[in-house]
Amino acid sequence: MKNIIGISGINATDNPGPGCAVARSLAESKSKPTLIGLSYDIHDPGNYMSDLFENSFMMPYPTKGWQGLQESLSTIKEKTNLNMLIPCLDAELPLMIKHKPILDKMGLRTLMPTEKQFELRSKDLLTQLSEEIGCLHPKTKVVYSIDELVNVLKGEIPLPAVVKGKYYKAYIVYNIETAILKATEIAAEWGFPILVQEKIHGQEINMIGLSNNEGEVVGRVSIKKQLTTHLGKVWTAVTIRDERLDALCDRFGKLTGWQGPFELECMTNENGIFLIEINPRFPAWVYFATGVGVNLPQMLVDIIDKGECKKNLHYPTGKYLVRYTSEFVTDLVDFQNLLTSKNRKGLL
Amino acid sequence: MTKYSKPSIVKISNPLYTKHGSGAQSYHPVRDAIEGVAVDELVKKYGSPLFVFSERILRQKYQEAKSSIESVYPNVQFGWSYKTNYLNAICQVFHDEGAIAEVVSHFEYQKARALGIPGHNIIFNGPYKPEAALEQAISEDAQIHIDHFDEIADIESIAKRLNKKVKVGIRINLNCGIYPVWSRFGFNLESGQAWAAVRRIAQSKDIQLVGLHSHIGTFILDPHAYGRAIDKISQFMRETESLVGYNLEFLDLGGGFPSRSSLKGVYQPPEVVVPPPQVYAEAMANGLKWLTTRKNMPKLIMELGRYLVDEAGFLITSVMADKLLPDGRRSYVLDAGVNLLYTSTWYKFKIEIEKEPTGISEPSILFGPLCMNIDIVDEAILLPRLERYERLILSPVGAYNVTQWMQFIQYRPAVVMINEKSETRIIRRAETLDDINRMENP
Amino acid sequence: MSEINHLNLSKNGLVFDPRTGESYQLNPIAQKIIVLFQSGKTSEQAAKLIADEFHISLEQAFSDILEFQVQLSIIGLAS
Repeated sequence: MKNIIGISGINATDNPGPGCAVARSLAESKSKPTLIGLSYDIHDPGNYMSDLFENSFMMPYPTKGWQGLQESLSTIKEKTNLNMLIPCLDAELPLMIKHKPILDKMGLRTLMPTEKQFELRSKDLLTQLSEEIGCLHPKTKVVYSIDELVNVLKGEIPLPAVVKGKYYKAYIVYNIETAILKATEIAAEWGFPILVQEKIHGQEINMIGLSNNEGEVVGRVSIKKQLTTHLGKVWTAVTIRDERLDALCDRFGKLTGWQGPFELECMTNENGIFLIEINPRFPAWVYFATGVGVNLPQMLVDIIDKGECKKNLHYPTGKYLVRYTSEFVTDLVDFQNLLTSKNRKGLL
Repeated sequence: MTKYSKPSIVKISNPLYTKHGSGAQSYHPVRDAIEGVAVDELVKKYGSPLFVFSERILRQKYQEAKSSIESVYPNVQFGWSYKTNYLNAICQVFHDEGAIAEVVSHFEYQKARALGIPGHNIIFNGPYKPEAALEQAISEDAQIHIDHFDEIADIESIAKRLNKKVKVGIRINLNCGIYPVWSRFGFNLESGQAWAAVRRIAQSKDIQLVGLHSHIGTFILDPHAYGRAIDKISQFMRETESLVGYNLEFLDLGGGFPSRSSLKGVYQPPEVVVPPPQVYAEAMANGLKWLTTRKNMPKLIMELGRYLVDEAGFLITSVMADKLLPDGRRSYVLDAGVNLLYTSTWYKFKIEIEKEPTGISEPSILFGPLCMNIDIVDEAILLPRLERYERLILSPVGAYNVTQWMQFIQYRPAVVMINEKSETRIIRRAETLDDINRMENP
Repeated sequence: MSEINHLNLSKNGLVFDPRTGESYQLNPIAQKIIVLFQSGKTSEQAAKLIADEFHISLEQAFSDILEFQVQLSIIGLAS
C-alpha cells in the first residue's frame, strides 16, 4: 500500500507550523509517499507548494468541533485515498486524539499520544509531571481573568514573569501594564486560560524527539537556538548534546508511555534543567533533525507502517541551521480553487 | 435550472471570510427535526419563536450524573436547582427521577410546594429569605442553609415562637483555586467566619447544625476544583463535628458542572474542554473516602442545574428580515433575541439551519427583534443567504433562559416538551395581552 | 457601471478585479446580474430578465437588484 499522508500545520510565515518541514523531510526520504496538505487558512503557504504537496485541502476550524472535521476528512479520503495523518497543529490535537478510534475506522492511521498522555503534559499539569520525571519546573499559575492575572503577579509569581497562552504565544513581561496587554492579546486570539510563569534565568535548549508505541524514545536531537525572531521562533541554531537532557527525555518517554513526536523546551542554569514546556507534536524546526541524519517524520511513518523503526540516537553536534525566507510564484487559480472547491486542484 | 436565491457577493479580504472563513469554513450544521419531530411541524403548530425541550435528554442527563456520583459515593441525593429552569413540567421530570427541590427564594419555595413537594424535600438556599418564607420553611421542616449571621437570629426567633428546634445547614465559601471566589454567599472559611458561625450555632438552644453546604461557582471546567473544595470542607467538617460532639447528616456540594455550551473566550470546542460527570466524580472520590467508612454515611447532596437541563433545550427562531448594513455585512432580524436569550451574553450558541445550504456563505450578523442596539444573537457568523421565514435552531438554551427571559415589548413564546415517544405538548403557553394587563389597574 | 466592466468572471463564481487586485465571490444570481450590467442593461431591464427567467415577481427581482447595487457600491464596485 502506498502511503498517502495528510499533514496539517502547513503555515510557514513568521510563526511557522511544522507541516511544511515534515513534508520536506518525507519528500527527501526513500519511500517518497504522496503528501496532502490539510489547512485551516487559505493563506497557509503550504497550500500552494505543489512541489511538496500533491494537493491541499481546506478543513473547518477545529474550534467548530469534531463533526465538521470528520466530514471533511472523509471527503478528502474519497478524493485522495488518504491513509495516514500527521497532525501538526496544537489546536486540532485534542480532537484528533479523542476521536482516534474513528480515525482508525476510517483507515486514517496515526501515531499520537493518548488522551491521558496528552493531558499529563498540559501546561497546567507540567509542575507535577516535572516532579515525577525528576527535573525542575518554573512556578506556574493558571488564570481565567485579567483580575486574577494581576493578583498572581502581585503575589505568588512576582515580576518579571512569563505570560503564556494555553496553546500558543509566550511573552516575558516586566510590568503589570505589559502583562495585561499581552494577556489580553493572547486571550483575544486563543481565549482563556492564560498561564503565568516564573521567569527562569539561564540558557534555553530544545529537544525534538519521537517515541514508539511503547514509549521508548527512538530518536532525539537537541539544539540551542542562537537567533530568534521577535516571536521567539528559531532563526539560526546549532546542534548540541547534554547527557542530562538525554536522560530526562528517556525518562519522560518511559514514565508517560508517550507515543509519537514531541518537543521539550528547557532552560538550564546552575540549579539544573528546567522543563518549560512539552509540545505534543513536531516543532517547526523538525527539518533540522532530518538535515543532521535523524529523519523523525520518516521514522514516525515506519512505526505506523511496521510497528517499529530503526532507533537513531546519533547525530553530530555543532551543525548549524539557518532559516531563510523564500518566494514561490503560482497562479491566482490555486487561491480561487481553495476558496470555492476547498482544494488547490479544484477537484469537485 | 438554477433555483433563484437573492444575489450575494463577498469581498474575499473580509477577515471573517479568509481567516475563519473561506468556502471551507462554511460548514453549517443542518437540523430539520428535534427528537424526531420536524421543525416545520413544530412551528406550524406552536408558532415561532418556540422553546423546545427534550424529555429524553433531561432524563438521560440526570441518570448519567447521578450514576457517576454514586459510583464514588453511595449515599447521594440530587436537589433540582429550580432557578435554572422552574417550569413545572421540567421540575416534574427531575422530581420523577428522584430529585428533591433546591430553591433560593420564597417564590421558588412556593412553586415547589404548589407542585406537591413537601417541605422536608425542599432545600432552601439563598442570601435573602424573608421572615414569612423562613417561617413557612421552618414550620414545614424544610432544609434551610443559612447564609449569614442575621439569618441565624431570624431562625432563632421563629423557632422560639413556634417552639421548635430547627435543624439547619450553613453555606460556606472557600478558595479552591476557582476565580472569582463567590465570597458574597455564606460564611467564609479561610477568614474564620465559618468557624464563628459554627460556634454561634453550637451555643444556640433553638438551632442544631446538621450539615455543610458549598457552591464553588458556575461552569467549572476544572474538576479538581471540587476535589480541593472537598479537602477543605472535610477538614472543617472534622473540626465542626469534634466541637458539636456528633456527626453531621449531610454535605452539600452545590452545582457548577458545565454543559456542552461554548463559553465565549474559550478557544477549544465544548467537546474538548467540558469533562463528563464521571471525571468530576473521580476528582471528588478521594476526598469523600473518609466518609464512606461511617456507619451512618452522611448524605451527599448535589444541586446540579445547568448540566441537567441546558442541552435538553432548543430555541427555534425565524428570519423576519434581511438587511444590508452600511459596512457591507449581511444582517438578519430574527423573532427571538436577548429578550429570550439572557445567556447569550456569556455563551455562543450552536446555530443550526433548517435546510441544506446552497450558494456561498456570507459574514452575517443576527439581530433580535428588540428596538435596542444590544439585541444581538450572534455578531459574526458565516451563513448561506437565508430566505425570509427560514428557521434557525439555537442550542443549548435549556438553562436559565426560560427563567431569566424578559417580557420587554414582546410576549414570551410557548414552550413545548417532546416526550420519549416523540409526542409534543405545550408546557407553557405563549403569553397574551390579557396575561400582562390582568396585573394592572388603569 | 465602469468599475464593473473591468471584472473578470471565472467559472467558479469568483471575480477578480485586475485594477485593484481584489477578489470577490458571487453566487449564481449575482454572477448573472453582473453579466447583465456588463452588457449595458439598466437595473430595471435586468430585473425584468431575472424575473422572467426565475419566475419570480418583478417587484422582488427589482428590490433584490437595487439592494445588490447598494452592496456593490459599499464594496467599491459602484455601478
